Amino acid sequence: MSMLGPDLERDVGCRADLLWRCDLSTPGYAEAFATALNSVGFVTVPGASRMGLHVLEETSTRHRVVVVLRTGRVQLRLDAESGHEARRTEARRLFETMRRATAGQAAARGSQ
Amino acid sequence: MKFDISTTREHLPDHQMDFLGGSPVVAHCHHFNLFWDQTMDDALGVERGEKVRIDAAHKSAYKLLRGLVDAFPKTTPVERLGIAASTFAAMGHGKLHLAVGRSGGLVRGDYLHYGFGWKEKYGGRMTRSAPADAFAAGYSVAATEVAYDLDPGTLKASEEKCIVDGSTGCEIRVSAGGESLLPQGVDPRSAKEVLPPTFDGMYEERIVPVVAGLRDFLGGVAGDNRGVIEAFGVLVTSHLADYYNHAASDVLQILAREKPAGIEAFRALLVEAGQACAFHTFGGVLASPEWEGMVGAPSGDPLEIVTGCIALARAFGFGKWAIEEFVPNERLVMTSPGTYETLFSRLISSDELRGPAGIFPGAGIGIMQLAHGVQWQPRPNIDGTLYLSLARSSPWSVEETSTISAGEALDRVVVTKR
Repeated sequence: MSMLGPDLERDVGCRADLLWRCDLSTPGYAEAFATALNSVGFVTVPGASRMGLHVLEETSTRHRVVVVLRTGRVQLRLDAESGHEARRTEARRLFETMRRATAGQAAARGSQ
Repeated sequence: MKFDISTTREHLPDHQMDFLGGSPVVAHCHHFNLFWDQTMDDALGVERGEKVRIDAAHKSAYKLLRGLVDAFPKTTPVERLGIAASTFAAMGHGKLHLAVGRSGGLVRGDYLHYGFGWKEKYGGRMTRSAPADAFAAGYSVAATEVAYDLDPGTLKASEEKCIVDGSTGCEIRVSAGGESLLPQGVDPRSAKEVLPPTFDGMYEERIVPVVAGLRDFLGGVAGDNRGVIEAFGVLVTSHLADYYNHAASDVLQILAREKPAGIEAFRALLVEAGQACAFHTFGGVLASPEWEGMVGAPSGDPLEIVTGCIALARAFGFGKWAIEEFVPNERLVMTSPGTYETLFSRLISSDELRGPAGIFPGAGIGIMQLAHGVQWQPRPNIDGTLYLSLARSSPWSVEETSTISAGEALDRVVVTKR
């Protein structure tokens, strides 16, 4: 079981498939979710916590993952250089990467 | 030489205006910036529109860079070009590689805001032959002139390659043969002399804390190593207010000389640009994770949307916008002791033409559309389709009833239902 819900959809905004949304199963997973992404190579972008966020970057692609601490909303922010034709595929790949990184952790936290 | 751009910043808290190197700066996103440039081209055609935009950038950037260089005396031309390039990147406009001497040269641009933004927004479904980076072109020629202590207008610039036409990068040629120009603009001293006393509006207890939080966040935002600022789900620039104002003023002067009947239509386009700004920029920010993290996801209460937009306008340096009256679904009266447009009009524009005044009235309509035409819960959909739909069926009309550009005590716009 992943910390992420099963759905990935385009997020609001005029960004031509650059912004995608998914949600944590519960906002309480926000810290553990960020730690799990750190463990698979995502780098925390400093300074976001004062906005009530975690922002993590997949450095090889510059794609960013924005986590809203109070609500558990997760926005995938594909780098603006991403080719138009590849954006949907990239969003799906990133989503699956995050799901794999947090697979099993939700159940483990629930049993603690 | 140690160059710290932050030492040249000045904030006028009573009027919510910001200055960099003595020039007024505002935050605008790529949606508005592209819309604004398109508005100039719509009025004059692409070729003349581009010239107006390059000249506006040239004038406003010359004034900015002169101010910055004067703040760091005894700099060499190479150091001055470094100041120009690093400032451009810090403001979110991309990277300029200024290989220029006193007679000009070639400038390579990477991630230039307009071309990069256009390609990201439209590149999947449109092609464009006209270059997009007039601001970078005007900035490059100004940087060269300031670096070598040349008079403004000694040189000229044109963008020879742009990524919007399929080129792999952008190239700007700076060469001899420019036209003399006057790099006028607003400065903090003259602003303080003419701005009327400030005042509060309704719901300040809601607005003020949000402005403080936004300013704290924006104070730490600068271009990344590409010179790109991505925040609130948009590409953001810290931009020269004089650029927008010179461009619109110059178009107005050309229309007055050649096609006076077109002036009212152009003013309507400027109001629409303000409307687009409110919808895309304010609406996009309200729907963003940043807003949700700091303030909370909008519930859909119209007052919450209106006060949120007023806070954004202040934090972006548009002026101390305030609410004089708000009746949900009926009426909004906004006031301000000056906006970045009306201040320019008051100080720089000719009395007959009174300069641009689109952002305040246009945003008034856009704010009412956001407050009453958007389904905020469970999730809003701030996109081009909804914008067009709301614009076509808009029940709102706006009237400017007072403006400091005409010497009156405040700016006021009244938005009512038709």
